[in-house]
Amino acid sequence: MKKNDYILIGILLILSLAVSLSVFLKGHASEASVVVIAVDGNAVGTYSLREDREIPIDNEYGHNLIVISDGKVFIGESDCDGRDCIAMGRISKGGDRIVCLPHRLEVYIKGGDGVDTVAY
Amino acid sequence: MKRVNVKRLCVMGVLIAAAMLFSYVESLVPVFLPIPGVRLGLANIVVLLALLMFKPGEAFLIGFIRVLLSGILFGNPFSLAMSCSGFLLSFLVMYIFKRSDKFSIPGISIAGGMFHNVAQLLCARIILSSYGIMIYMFPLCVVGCITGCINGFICKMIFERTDKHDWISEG
Ligand SMILES: [Zn+2]
Repeated sequence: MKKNDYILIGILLILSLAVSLSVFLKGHASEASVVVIAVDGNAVGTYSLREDREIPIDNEYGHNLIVISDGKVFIGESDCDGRDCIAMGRISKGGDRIVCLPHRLEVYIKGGDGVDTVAY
Repeated sequence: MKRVNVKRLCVMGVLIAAAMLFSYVESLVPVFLPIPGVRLGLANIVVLLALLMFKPGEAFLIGFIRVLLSGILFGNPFSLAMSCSGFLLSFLVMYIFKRSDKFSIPGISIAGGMFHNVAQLLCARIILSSYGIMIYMFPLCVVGCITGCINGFICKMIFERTDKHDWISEG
């Protein structure tokens, strides 16, 4: 390995750390207790992390069942290719995120008060 | 008419087969990160080796055929789109760094591994239209750095032990 290699690797790692940190600091404002479900980048529902419930998401992309249980969120069912979203397991901390790429679905936890449960 | 170099053609075929084998082995390894399509990148050993030994166009062809075939055989449309974007950006980066002649083989491989994952993340960001997913940038770059390093040293070992004249010669 040459000196140039180390400089290159160092610069790339610092840049990527800056990107991750900026996103992390944005989503980590206050006590994390709100579960946000988004499809195609648009929030379709926000729920309290403290209330156990199951939220089915059915749209043109397919079916997902999001489960909130014991202060944790996970994907219980999905008919997507690969089932990577189910394999991602449970999340419980602010900024944590589950993604189901084939279904354009994101589930993440953000801080804040004023939880309003959106029915649709 | 352009003369076809049979020896070269055979080696290229063998390299594609080797890359396909790597892809298959990788498809058996479970996902360890929340972005679909993120893998060890073992097939990148073959692409980098091809970049070192063949013309850029030929190396590109080896890599591209590998991505298409393994995507159709072992993947789904999403993993194909992801690995395609990863391959295109990492190939471009490795080609530029190799041409600059300022970096070692592991260095080129590490840059390729990192940008492979960056491209996949950007692809996921476009599909999801969500900025929040960019939080994975650092972990993915660290993973790309580690896998790129391992692959780079394997590639270097293979490259130093092959009879280059025999493979590259136009005869
Ligand atoms: Zn899924």
